[in-house]
Amino acid sequence: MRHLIILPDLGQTTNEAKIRQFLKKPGDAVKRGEPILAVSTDKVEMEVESFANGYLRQWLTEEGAVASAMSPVAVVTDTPDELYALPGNNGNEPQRAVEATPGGAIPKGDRGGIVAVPAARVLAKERGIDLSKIAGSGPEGLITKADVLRSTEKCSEATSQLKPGDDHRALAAMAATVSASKREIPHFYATVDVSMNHAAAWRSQWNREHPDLHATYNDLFVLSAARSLKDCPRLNVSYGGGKYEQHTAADISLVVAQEPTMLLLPLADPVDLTFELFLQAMRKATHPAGANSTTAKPLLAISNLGMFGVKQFAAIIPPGSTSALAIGAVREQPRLKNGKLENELVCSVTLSADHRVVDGVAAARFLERMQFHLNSL
Amino acid sequence: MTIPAIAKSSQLTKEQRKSLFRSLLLCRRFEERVYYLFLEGRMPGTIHQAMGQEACAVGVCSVLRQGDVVTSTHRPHQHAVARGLSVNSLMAELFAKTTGCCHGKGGSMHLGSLADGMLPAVAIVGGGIPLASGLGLAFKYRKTGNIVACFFGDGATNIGSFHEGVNIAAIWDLPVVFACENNRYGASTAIEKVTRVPHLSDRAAAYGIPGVTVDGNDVEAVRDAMTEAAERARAGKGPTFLEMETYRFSGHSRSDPGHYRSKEEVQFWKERDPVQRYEEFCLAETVLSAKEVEDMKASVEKELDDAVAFGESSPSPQAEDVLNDVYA
Repeated sequence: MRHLIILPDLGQTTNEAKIRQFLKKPGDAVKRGEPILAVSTDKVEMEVESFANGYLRQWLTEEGAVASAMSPVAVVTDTPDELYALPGNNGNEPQRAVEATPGGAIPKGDRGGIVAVPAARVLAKERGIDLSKIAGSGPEGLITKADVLRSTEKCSEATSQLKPGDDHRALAAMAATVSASKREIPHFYATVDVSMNHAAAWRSQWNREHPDLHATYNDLFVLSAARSLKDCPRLNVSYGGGKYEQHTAADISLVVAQEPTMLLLPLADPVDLTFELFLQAMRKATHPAGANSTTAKPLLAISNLGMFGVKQFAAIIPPGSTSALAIGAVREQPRLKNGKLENELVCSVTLSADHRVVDGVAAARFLERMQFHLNSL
Repeated sequence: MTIPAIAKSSQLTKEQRKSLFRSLLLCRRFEERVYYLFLEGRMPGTIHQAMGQEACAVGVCSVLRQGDVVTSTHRPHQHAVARGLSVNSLMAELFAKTTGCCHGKGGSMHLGSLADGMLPAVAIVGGGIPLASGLGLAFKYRKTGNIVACFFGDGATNIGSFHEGVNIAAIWDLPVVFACENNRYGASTAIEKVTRVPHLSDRAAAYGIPGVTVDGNDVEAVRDAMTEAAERARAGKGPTFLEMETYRFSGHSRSDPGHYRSKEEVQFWKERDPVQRYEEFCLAETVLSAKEVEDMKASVEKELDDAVAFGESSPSPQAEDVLNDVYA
């Protein structure tokens, strides 16, 4: 008799799991209650047991694949060589078992002194990363999956390729998010070239005086954007379910690359901070161990591709936000002033905004305030 | 390490012992059956199982009479089986069928039937405790002579409702037995990480009631302690805190592999398997012959086969049933 071993519904927040390792190979005898494969979800690593006594005949999935709950993953039969049908054949076409793919032994955790969440251990193992070389950002140095991802980014540049068998759930989540955003939010865009002459000079001076606390252009843009948002309360309004809500705090979310997608990191309203405290808040918000502000409800997202030399781009507004500011590279360009040619530092910044909430005038005011605040540092 | 012998109770007849063993067996096999049905994808939902804790449910419930009531937790399967609810109605409930004890609308975490002596389980940790005291007050007020067996786990002893519920039962001498199944973990948190007293029963002193700790994997030890607590409750002398030291072999729920426990620790407790221990005791004491044990196992399997067939073939609730059995 044929028994189809299914991936159980593990409940919690997921209906799929990654097939981590086969613990048996085709031809092996299996007992009721004996683990035959190891799987992992975002939350746990666990083993799936056979519910039948018999012989493992064939895997219906492969190591590294992601399987949905309740889908069949293996065939077990009562006797070692009986004919069986594969699911989907309606039982009409008995088949011989396919020859075994080499199975693996049960993994033994090398947990000596290293504290890491299961997903981090699995990832590290897959990518051959030594966990003892990674500094954990969690409580008491707990290594998270994000820590491992970050360390792979460091050693393998950001040009990583997608390989068959890779876990594409993060990408799929991003796909769902941006699709929803473009579908739901009527975007419009406004671009200005802000002059950076004053801001650049101010930054040079700051960095000379504060060798231990350097400011980047991005820092200046974020602070100026927050101040501009404070000046333009009409832009700091959320919309959802037919309701509008005015926000007062100029909270910001920072878009940060994290292979294979990106993260949104909240930064609580920095407008009242001294520049020094603001820089510290920025470092904290973007640090791996950052105690991210839980009270911040940012409606403005800021994305910066200037460091890659991108001149200008338009960002997609993250769901739940009202606008997104896309910052390009700070570049030199000639400018005519009072009939004379001058050298000017400029940066193209583009505001994407939700037209259900604001109109072009509000966007233009905001960009005008950006220039004002960059000139008033 | 030697495994302690069963604390042989002075008052039990051979028939009573047979009945205790069958009840232990039925609890264990019921849980196993549910687990494999879940693995096969035939039974929906994640489940909280109590394999390893059978002696607590069976020892406590074996003392109860008609009209007594059990309150239970998110881990209620064995309480229901040991209380004598029909296995058919329990299996049907787990399959979410209309023939279930809650007409298929309660599921694993709300098993129960007040008519059969079990309040549908309250899955909120500690949530059943004030209800048990309320039931006790009703019994006392109506002078029914009945008692309440209130099951909860070690984790519940750090919940506010535990303090309120036990205290009010204590000051009014309510007929309640607070039956604490100390399986050493509140989900994944070891009890000693969150509690300073070595025995949870020490806490009884704070309420001025007796506190007893027994081997929760010894069905006769549990039964003896429960007998004394029940007599006290029926005599109007108030509640007892009964701590039963036990262990769940499985994780907290199906999606918990239990990696926070060492293999040695699990092995230690598996050697003290309450069902296996009592089987060996019954054989050694000639309560049952080897043949009778096999027959009993076969009859339990048959009963469960029938229950699964009954549950799976029963009808599912229909859309028009949605407003039945609701108050508002």
